Amino acid sequence: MAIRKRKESADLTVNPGSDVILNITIGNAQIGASVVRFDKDTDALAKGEIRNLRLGTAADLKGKTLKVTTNVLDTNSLTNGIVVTYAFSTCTPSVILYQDEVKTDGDIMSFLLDFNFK
Amino acid sequence: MKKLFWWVLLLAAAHPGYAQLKDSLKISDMTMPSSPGLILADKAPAAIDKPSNPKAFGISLINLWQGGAIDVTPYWLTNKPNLTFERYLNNKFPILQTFNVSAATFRTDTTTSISAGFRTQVFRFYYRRNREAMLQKKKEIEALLAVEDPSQLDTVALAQKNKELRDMFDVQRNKGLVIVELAGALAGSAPGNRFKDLASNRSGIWTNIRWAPGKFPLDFIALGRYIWNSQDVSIGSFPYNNQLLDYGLSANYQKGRFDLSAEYVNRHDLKNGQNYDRLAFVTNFMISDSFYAVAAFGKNFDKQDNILAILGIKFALSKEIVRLNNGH
Repeated sequence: MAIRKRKESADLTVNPGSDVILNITIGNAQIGASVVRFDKDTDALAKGEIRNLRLGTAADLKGKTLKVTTNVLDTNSLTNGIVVTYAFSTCTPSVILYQDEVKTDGDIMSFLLDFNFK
Repeated sequence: MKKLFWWVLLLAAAHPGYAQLKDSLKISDMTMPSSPGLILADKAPAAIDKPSNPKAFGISLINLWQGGAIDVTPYWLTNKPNLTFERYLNNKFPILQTFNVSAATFRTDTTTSISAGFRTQVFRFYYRRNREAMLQKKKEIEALLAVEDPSQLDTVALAQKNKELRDMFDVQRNKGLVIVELAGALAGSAPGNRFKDLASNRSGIWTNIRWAPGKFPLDFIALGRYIWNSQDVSIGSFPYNNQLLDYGLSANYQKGRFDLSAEYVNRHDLKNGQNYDRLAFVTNFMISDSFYAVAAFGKNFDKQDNILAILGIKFALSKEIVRLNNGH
């Protein structure tokens, strides 16, 4: 079983006024889990399936980097395609989608992501 | 058949979607005939076919001389960002997700036949216990995947859990489910193997309903099938212009490497008012991952020359061989 890694970063503009909520959706009927933490923190903010995770207010987040690792196991025998959607409420862009594929059926795809709040 | 095989490899190399799929070809993608076109022509060992999980891209062989089939499930050629595991599992009508199209060819000494077919699961229901077990397995996999450093992933445990989960999704072997599959095919032949004589002459549409009770050693498949011939051209067992209505039932028993089934099909010729029937016993024995022994004995539909006796080996070509031939 091989692990394919992909590092990416994205800048997010936070719209003031309300909390930023993160949702991570694993598509293609695959199974994945994420670890979410701020770069200056040693402890993870959340692990596993990420649903409605409150990250903080716009004022809290500006200038911070959110580190997200998402590991997806290719459990779907019908496709090697991996697609993960990161939805940040009240941010621009509000949705970031990463698509890739594992080389061999049953492999793991790891997304190592930095989201920079501006 | 060799030509067909090379065509498949050429297609895989030329088409970006197939190019991705060729890397996922595995032994289980290449099995004995079950493509709708082969069933339509009475070329499959069993007349009552088990509903099966679609293949993203598969090859079925009769043998290297008589022909075979290729099939593809178009839905999975593109990514589906919103299709979560739960949505996939809870979808009772996975018509698009399982819509599989196929093309088949088979030949006799004087005739070459080609066919196009489709199959799809119009209804799929897992018993609650199965669904809960699948969701539990998902949670176990998620727990193993929730690590920040990918090099810390327990790949051995993940591979084992993945295998267990995939076995749960195997609609052919799993218990505690109901599957309604719809299939259809259109077949044409060319007398004298001349392309200009190629014409459509047999069509059919059918449904297989598999009920596998959770705690019972047998599972059952009901068949309803309507076939009509549009020309007086020989194809399969029934060479005349007719309309056939098949209905039947099979009982199956699976244990370890054995898969035994008994099937009875009644065929009613609507045009001529004739009745035919077929009674067959089919045994599959898994010798290894790549070799299966298959035996089918019984009586075929025809009034004469109707002894059904098939004994053979199902073999599959490995992924490595496919890639080697494709690359060079």
